[in-house]
Amino acid sequence: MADFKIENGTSNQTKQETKSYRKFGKEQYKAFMDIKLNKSTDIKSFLFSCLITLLIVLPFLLILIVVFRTFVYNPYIKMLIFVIGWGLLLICNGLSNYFMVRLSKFYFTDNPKLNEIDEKAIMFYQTFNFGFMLFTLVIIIFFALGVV
Amino acid sequence: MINYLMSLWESFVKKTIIKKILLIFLLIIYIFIIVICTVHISVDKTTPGYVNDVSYLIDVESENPRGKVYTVSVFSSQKVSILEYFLSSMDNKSSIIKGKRQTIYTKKEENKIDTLFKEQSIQDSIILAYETAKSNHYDVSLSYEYIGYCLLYIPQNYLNTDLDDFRIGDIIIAIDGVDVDENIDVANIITSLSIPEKKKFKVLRDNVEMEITPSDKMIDYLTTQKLNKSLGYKSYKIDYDNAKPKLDREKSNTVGPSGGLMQTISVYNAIIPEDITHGKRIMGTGTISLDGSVGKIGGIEQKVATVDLYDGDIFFLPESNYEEAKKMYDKIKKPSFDLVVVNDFTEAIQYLERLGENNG
Repeated sequence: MADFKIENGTSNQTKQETKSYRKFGKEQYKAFMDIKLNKSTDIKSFLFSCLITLLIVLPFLLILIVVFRTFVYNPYIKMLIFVIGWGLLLICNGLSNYFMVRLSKFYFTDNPKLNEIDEKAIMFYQTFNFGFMLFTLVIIIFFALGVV
Repeated sequence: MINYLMSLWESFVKKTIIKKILLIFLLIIYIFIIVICTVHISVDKTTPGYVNDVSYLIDVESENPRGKVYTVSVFSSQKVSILEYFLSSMDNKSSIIKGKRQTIYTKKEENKIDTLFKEQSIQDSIILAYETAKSNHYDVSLSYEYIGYCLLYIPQNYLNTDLDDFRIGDIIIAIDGVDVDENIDVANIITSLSIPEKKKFKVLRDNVEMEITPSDKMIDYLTTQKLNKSLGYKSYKIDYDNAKPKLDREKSNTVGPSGGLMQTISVYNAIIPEDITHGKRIMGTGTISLDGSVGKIGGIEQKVATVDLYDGDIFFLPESNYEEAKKMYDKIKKPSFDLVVVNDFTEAIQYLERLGENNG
């Protein structure tokens, strides 16, 4: 497994390292998807990872809903809530992928290729997945325009 | 899954005492947040809402400028979470009173009454606007005929009455075989009924005619509640297609009669050649009657806050709401709008016409 370290440096250097870490995460994700796992366990990992993610973000989601209901009349607060909601969706994407890998590792402890996968890098990559960011942004804007 | 959870528990047991305390503390916070966000309490909460352009509700087919005339709506709820209660209490634009509102009407009945109130306000707005324009010698015409008296405050569920008793929305068209006309005070007749006196009422219910003999329970309720002035309203059928100018109306996404004054101003402005709004954003509230009088409404403080959020220029309100409205108005830093008290529709029109004269 590549031993990835991010060290403090100039902002350009940090940007490059961030890009590299994201690229590393993408590679790790591809490597994970290439591993052929038992289909039923795969589905179990996916469902359970979604459940764990939902349980983790539930308090934040509930607070967001309550603040929205309280200040629904204020267009600026409404916009802010939509932006935070979008951020929360991206975090959910990252977290669910993280737990999916963790759970797969738990179910298949003797798979060496699986054990080498860095789930934190996958989480980073999926949190800042441009395709998912764009897709959810379009949905949020569509929903916001309907509500605002 | 269970094995995974067991492994998590095992790793928790192996952690240091400080980490255990921290995790338990986080769990307590987690449960606390879930509880304060999901456990609801009964309140009467009103918050600022939004403004509605009247032209989307009542569309007049004319080349005349419509102007920007808006009704003002507020949000209200009867059940909120503990956190929402706490946040709303700190918000000086909202009003929140703990405790369940006492009412004998079910939620469905209240919605039906508010919907009918809205219908009444639209009907009265259109008739008043056209009649006022006609009396001011504008070339307009509107045909409408009196159908009957529409009942509102009938607590069907509370009285547990049958289908052949009065219901919310019943339009009384005849009493003991005699058709009612506009001049008959139907509310007075109903609230003066006596139990031995079995009057027969012909009503229109969902466009179907039927005979009703109100039950003793109903008569007892109606004659003791002093509902004469608010039992219902006179219902008219308006000939939209032959109106001059023609008009059409859409389904309303709000309920209640508080938009009456603004609806009347909007329709009046659209049917006359001049734009009496003079490019201003006119907002306001107040019920309207066919005699032009403007009545008191609820949630006035939140409506004033709403107008501030939506950059109104003028806010019309009834005199009976002025004191309350001033309290919220004084809290606003540099309000963009003027509070204008009106007692009837003519006063509002005269104010707007004078505005045009002052602006040259």
